Amino acid sequence: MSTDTSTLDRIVSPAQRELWYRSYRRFADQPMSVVGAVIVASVITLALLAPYIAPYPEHVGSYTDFANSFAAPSLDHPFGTDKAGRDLLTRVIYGYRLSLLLAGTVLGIGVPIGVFLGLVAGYSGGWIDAAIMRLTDTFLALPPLVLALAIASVFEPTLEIAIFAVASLWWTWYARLTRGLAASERSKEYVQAAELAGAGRLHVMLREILPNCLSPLLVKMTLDAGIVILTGASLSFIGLGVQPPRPGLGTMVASGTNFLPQQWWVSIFPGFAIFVLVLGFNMLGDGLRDMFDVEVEQ
Amino acid sequence: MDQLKRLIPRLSGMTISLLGLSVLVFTISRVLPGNPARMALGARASDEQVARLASEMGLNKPLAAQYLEYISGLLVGDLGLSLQTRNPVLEDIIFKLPATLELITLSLVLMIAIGIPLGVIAAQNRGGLLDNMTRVFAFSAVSVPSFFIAIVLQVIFGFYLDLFPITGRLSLKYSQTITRETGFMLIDTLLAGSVAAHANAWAHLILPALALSFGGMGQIIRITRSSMVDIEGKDFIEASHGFGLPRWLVVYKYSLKNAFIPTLTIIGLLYAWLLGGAFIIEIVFGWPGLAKYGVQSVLTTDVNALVGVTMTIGLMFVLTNFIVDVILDRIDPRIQLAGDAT
Amino acid sequence: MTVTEPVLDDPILEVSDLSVGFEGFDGYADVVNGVNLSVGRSEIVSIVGETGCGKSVTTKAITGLLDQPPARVSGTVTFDGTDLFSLPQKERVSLNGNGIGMVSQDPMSSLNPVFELGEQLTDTAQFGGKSPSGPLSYVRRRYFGEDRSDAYQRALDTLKQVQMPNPEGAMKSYPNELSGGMCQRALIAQALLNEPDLLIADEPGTALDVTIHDKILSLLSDIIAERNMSILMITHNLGVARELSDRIYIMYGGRIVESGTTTEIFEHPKHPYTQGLLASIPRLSSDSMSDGIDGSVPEYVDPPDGCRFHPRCPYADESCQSQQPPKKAFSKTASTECVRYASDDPGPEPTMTETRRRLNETAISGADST
Repeated sequence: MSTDTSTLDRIVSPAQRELWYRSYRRFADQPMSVVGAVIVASVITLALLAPYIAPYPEHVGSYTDFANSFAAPSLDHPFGTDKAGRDLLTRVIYGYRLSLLLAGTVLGIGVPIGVFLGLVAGYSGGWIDAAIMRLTDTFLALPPLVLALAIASVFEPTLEIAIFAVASLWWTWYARLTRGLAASERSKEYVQAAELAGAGRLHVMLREILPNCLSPLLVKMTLDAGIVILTGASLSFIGLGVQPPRPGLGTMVASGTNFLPQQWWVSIFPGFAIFVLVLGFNMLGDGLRDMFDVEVEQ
Repeated sequence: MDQLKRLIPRLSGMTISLLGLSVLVFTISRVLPGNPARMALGARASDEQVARLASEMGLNKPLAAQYLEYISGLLVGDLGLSLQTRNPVLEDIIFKLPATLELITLSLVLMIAIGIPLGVIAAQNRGGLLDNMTRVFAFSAVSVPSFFIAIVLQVIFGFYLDLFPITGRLSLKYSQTITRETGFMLIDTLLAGSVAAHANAWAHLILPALALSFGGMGQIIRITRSSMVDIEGKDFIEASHGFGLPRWLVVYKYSLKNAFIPTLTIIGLLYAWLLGGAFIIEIVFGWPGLAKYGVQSVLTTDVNALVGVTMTIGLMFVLTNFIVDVILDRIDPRIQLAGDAT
Repeated sequence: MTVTEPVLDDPILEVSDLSVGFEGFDGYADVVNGVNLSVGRSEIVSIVGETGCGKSVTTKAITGLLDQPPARVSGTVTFDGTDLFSLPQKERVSLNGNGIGMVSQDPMSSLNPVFELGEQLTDTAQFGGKSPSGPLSYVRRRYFGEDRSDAYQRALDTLKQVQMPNPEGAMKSYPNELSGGMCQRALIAQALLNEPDLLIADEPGTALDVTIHDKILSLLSDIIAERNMSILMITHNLGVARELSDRIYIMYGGRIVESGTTTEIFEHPKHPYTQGLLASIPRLSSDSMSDGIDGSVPEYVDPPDGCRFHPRCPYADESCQSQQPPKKAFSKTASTECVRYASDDPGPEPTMTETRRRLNETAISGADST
């Protein structure tokens, strides 16, 4: 064997590259996954660049121009304007920002908590496991919206509270998923090897087991992003999420319901925007699932 | 019956969950800011009146004592008084529950009746146009916000096509003639003998039930499709083909029963989802059900009603899961042998 | 077909030049490559080969159980004079169960787990291989037809014939309540229900433990004696083949490398592979036993050139790589495909002693196996 291996081969062995290529093929061969990825990437880009590309950034807050109220979709205002004369296209783009913020925060809170608890439960077994599982069962017995409603109404109904409300429920799914994965990893050789080497429990959980659970977690997070956004939109719709004049997508749909069907664009465009984003996450998540070849409990 | 014996551990687990739920909800409700007694009496009531109502409601006792009182009341059916309606919460719930149940049940039926056949068709047509169209539909169905599809259905069928009414359970001209017997409009209209009213009740039900069913329908389509594809590759299906059984029999009897099992497993989850989603639908369609009552009790800090509604929903959820477990136990013999392996 | 091909008169099954390939992720896998075999009436024929040599795929191609994409099947299969591949789908389906019965490999996974055995058997008895019936007639006949109880009785009787313990109880049980041996019997019963003329048995009893395996085999011989059927049996076990068969086909790498009556194969094996297999059978009498043939079955996406066995063959040379060896017939039943038997070949003809010696040599010298 020649000792002159290329740098690339040293970092990533040819066998590994083969594996990645196959996974990529599994993803890229499915048109739906690619479409999903494109949608998500586009929305994220839009949201990040909002201040620069939105046509009327000043319309985001409480801006009024009643002369322009309820303008139908036109070149000037591709999505029309709402009752206060604000450009809907701009507000939808900023609305995407809020949606992504919601998804990011909820998952950012719920996932670490859930995963950690799940690791503890799955790795420890015994009464710790049982106790944590009972706890999750209790939370799972509630339809998410109900508890979110209850919490959201305890405090001021705002986006931040809605985030907290939804996150407080979300961790349970991750706890269950991770617990199942950890429990089955627990008896595997690499774990026992680490234990024999004297690794502490924390080390085993975080550095050994966790990396092997990442694929299903990633898939679930992607799919959940969509569900969280839907839940948030529903809360906003009822009035317990994003408050006007902030451009929450659900809030915008609600504000337009009284003006259907004549001024249909006020409700339809924001609603459709939600649909497209969630669809993107769903298709992307499904593609990831095929790529990593995992089974995720929905 | 040993079926009962198998299910006892499940039952106890559920009781624990319900208890935990009650603690959780109760605590939340008591932690709500604002003085419920004050809210009930309004701003003009004097402080003594508020204090008197408060002590009547037991709001001054320690939390644990309040909880115990509540639980003991619960077991005998006393859920306290609703602050909004001044009626016993139990009465309110019983009055409003059938509307929600009707809605949810029809949604579930639609989900299954449309979702499973579509899933089977997609699996049979694998890779073909029908399959792809169905999959796109399924994805869309789970991605669309329920309030949005509700609004769209209202606009299309209510406004433009003017086929179905968009609010309420029964048109005004009929509601005078129907007396409430069971609370289920479909049944009550039949009991009153009016076919027109019955048809009208259906017309009112169809749009909200359809809107509510979309999300679950999409999921059922996808699960059915993937389990049918999965089952088709199994040895015993191949063997069935080898024995010369007609193709449609192998698919619709022998494969489908196997594929139905994963679907059944998520029906419990779907039901919970429906209960949550019903809130939105009831609001958009002005449906006078439990969900609307629940939302209002949240907005008006009606603590008793809130706890009552949440417990009812929790109970319904637990019951549905139990029923699903019973059915699963009956149709899948492997579960019987494995016992409760959780 | 070449002149050197042995031909049977009036076979019930005749397979000509059957090839099966699979379109896979890595490329096209050429799994069965020009197989010719035949089964006579009331004859028992075995296909013997290692795991992965293509025997199961061959039988699935015969019974039409392969999905055409991803599989690609070519060649002809004639059953009782009828060309199977040109039959319309529905008639093909009725042939299964009626003319041809198939017993699959793993009994535990070949029975539907969510239906009682009785339901599955009675359905097969009533509807298997019958002229296609639609859903309405199914419902009518299953619930209201008098032939339902006849079918039930037939199923019960067949269970008794396969020596199922407590047949009535078995009918009411679910497959996972039955033992492996019972499942195997049930599977055989199901294949026999509609009195097929040809039974194809894929490794019967292999998945079970040895004592049960024995019982199943003796059950099969009893059935054969009673019913006067033809049987095509797949096995990787030479001993089993010897016990039950009239004729044997040795299969390797997707081709039939040798064929002959049981006597011909065991007393005058021709192909080095056959000889190697026989040499590996442990003998109760002293005598050296070779260590078996080094190496493993060829990869089908990129198979070896020429004779697929040459990487493992103790007689191989360059002429083995350059061409597919021609088939040479030695009698009405015996034939082999090996360059060493070609009329113009200078090398030695393989014999048992020579093969044993060569295999032991390579084993001792530890030559690297491909």
